[in-house]
Amino acid sequence: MSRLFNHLLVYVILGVLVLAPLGAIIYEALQPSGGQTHGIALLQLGVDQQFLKSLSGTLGMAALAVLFSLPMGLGLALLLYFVPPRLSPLWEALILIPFLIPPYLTAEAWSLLTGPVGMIEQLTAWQALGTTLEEFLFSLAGMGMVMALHLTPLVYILLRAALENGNPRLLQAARVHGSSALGAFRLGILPLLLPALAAAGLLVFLDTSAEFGVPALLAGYAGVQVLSTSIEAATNVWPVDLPKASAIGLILCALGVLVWFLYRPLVRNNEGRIQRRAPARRVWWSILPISIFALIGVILPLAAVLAVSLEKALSVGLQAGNFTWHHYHHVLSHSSSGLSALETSLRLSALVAVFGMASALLAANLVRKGGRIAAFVDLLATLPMAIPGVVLAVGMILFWNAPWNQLPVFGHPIILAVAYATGTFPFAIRYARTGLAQIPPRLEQAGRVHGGSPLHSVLRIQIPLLWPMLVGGATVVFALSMRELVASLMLQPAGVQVISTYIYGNFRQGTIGNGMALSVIGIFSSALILGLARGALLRR
Amino acid sequence: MKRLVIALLGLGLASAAHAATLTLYSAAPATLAKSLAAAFEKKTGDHVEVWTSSTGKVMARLAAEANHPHADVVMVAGWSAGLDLAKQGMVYPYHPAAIEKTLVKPAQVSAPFLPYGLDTVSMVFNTKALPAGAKLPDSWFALTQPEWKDRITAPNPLLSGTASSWLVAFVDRYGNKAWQFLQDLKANGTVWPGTNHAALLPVLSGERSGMLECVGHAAVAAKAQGNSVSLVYPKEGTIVIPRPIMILKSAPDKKLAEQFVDFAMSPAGQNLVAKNNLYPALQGVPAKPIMAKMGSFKVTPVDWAKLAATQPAVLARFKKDILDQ
Repeated sequence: MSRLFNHLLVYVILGVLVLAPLGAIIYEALQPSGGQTHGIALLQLGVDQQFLKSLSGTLGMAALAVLFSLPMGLGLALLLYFVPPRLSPLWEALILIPFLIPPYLTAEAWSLLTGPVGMIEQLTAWQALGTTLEEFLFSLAGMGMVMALHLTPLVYILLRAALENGNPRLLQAARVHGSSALGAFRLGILPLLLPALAAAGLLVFLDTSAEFGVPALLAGYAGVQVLSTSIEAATNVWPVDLPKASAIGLILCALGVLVWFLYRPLVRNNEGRIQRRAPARRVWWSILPISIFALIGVILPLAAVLAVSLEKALSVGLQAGNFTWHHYHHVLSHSSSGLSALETSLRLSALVAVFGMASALLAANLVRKGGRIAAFVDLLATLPMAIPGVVLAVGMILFWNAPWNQLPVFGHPIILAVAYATGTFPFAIRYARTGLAQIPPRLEQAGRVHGGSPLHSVLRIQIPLLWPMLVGGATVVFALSMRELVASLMLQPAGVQVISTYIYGNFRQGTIGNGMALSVIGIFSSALILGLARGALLRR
Repeated sequence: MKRLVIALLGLGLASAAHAATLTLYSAAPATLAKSLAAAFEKKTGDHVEVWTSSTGKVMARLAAEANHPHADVVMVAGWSAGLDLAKQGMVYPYHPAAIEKTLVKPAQVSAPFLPYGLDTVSMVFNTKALPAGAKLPDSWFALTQPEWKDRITAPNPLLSGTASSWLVAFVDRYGNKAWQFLQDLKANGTVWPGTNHAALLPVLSGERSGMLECVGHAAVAAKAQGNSVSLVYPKEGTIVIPRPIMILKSAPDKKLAEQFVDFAMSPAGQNLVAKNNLYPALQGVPAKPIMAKMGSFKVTPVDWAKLAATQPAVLARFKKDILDQ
């Protein structure tokens, strides 16, 4: 009975979270496009000039992000592996920080740094630099670069793991047998790095093609269009064309699924095989490239965010008399919607973290049993990796706002929690599965033999043993939910704002100072949460 | 575990119980909608839920929610957008003569709803970021000159209610010359990045020098913060755009909605309108001193009913020819 209940619950959860919006999208994409009386929106895209332009914009931006992030990530990983500086954990932390900064914030910060009266030209003598940088930022390559800055830490982590998994003796053997340093690298290291490079490239491509915030802020000035912003416009700007939005969404999903299926086999067999190796030679000059990356990825953007959060008038710039605490006072005052946005975000993200990890644990138990159903559940649970937030939002609007759907979910804050739960499910289940794999089956067998029900074994055996993993997974889910932008933007009901939509809304309404003030608060709180997550994981 | 899940679901649904008594959808300025709602709550004890965006997105959301309407009262920025909603049969007529006769002259426009305020559009320049040797222009048409190449932004009329009202009036007045002007602007590197604020931001930060047809409240707000911006009313004249406040037919509690509209039109509500850099609609409530006095700049008259009829076609052509979408 309990087992049946477990199965049903998992089906319902995944059905609601994944199948319902996806099904709604597919159905809608097969309807005629807006303004047409017959035909199929998906096929009508083929002759749609704007779609083809957006498609090339998306592909171009994603390809450029890969092109920029792979060399940066590879360079940093090689440096820290072979010639780390002193205090390398600190430098490593600095490399990872850009991943914690939402990319739309980096984009906004850089647009304030560059330009004829941007902060760079205000503070330095290089008059032409700001303008040149601005021209670069407001282009396809600039958008790719912002995404690359955000995703280089991911590339670094994957490549660093690949390097650690390698066998340092291979390198020694090659050198002993007369290879040059470069030759030894080619023979001993490169074969290990290639799959990791490919995996990292695909992941960057996937994440960039799904990105909404950066193109929403920059593409208008760059004169380019991408798929994610086209979908949002077709859904949110009158006249609305939902079949077209769904059709573009389906294409973007198909792209994601394709990339995801290429990616999965590449990372399947890299369980840690950490080897002992001679301590690396520490050199001082390796801090130079790391500092340059930290400067453009972390220090300058954060300095811009901080400066603007303290500035009275944007066009006056960094001058005595133009500084104020007003934006912080405003954001933190009782009547401010900024504070309530932060509170709503915290509450929804906490709900999703608990609920998401609990359902992921149920689903992971089901997947562990093996068989065809398990494979299907696993597929559904990881599919949201390939569904961009903007597409998920369209699917959820179609499903929850359908004329026949009488559940009061659309127009209620809970819809944001549903969207976050879907988007973060792949991460939740990965943590749950990794945790379950560490529990020896005999413990649960012993529990069952002694008359414990399956539920009992979950509560008494799995949860205590899994606790660090569950907490770790929950914090990741929490952090991802806190920063989600596009689905929140499209689904938030009247009277509700979350931290990301408050910040984005303030950028869009000209009250940048308030947005930046809440960004500063948001960055500190998410850093704090990540610190706590690490603490919980290390107590294992 | 089961109990936990059920408890959490219960928690989520329980918060649905204290649903909003009145839901307001509003275009910018968001601060106005929020302060009106807060003042109304304080006065009556009734709760107001607010969702703010741009006029184009408010219209899209109303259309998307036609099956399950959520909004009771709608405030948008363009008079023609309001007339369009009325034409679709979504508006519950509410424009008491007692209120109408207390309105300032430009706000006395007949429609099944009331104007809560007025605004204008003008050209806005960052005086610190003008091209070398350039002087402030006195005509819309000067912006196609080579000295303004890549220096001008404009709000997207698909999103901005005032920009769409300006565009439709401009096309109505100049016909093909208007379309040629827009094509020339585009060829001269003008961008239409989004809402008024999205278009104003690069001007404030100096990335661009000026903005065509910027909505008044955004420009005044930027000026009041101490930014080096200058508003230019062109010699051809600008238009004064009333901003509609409407009750939707789907609103379950019409009395409450009427109370809210009455409050927005009262001196207390109109003072909030003035505070948010709009011209109040009610006689006797002064606009901010920082704003140009009505009558101190040239205004061209507008036939709103005629414009509302041509608006969809003009916007569709703009989307295709100018934005390439």
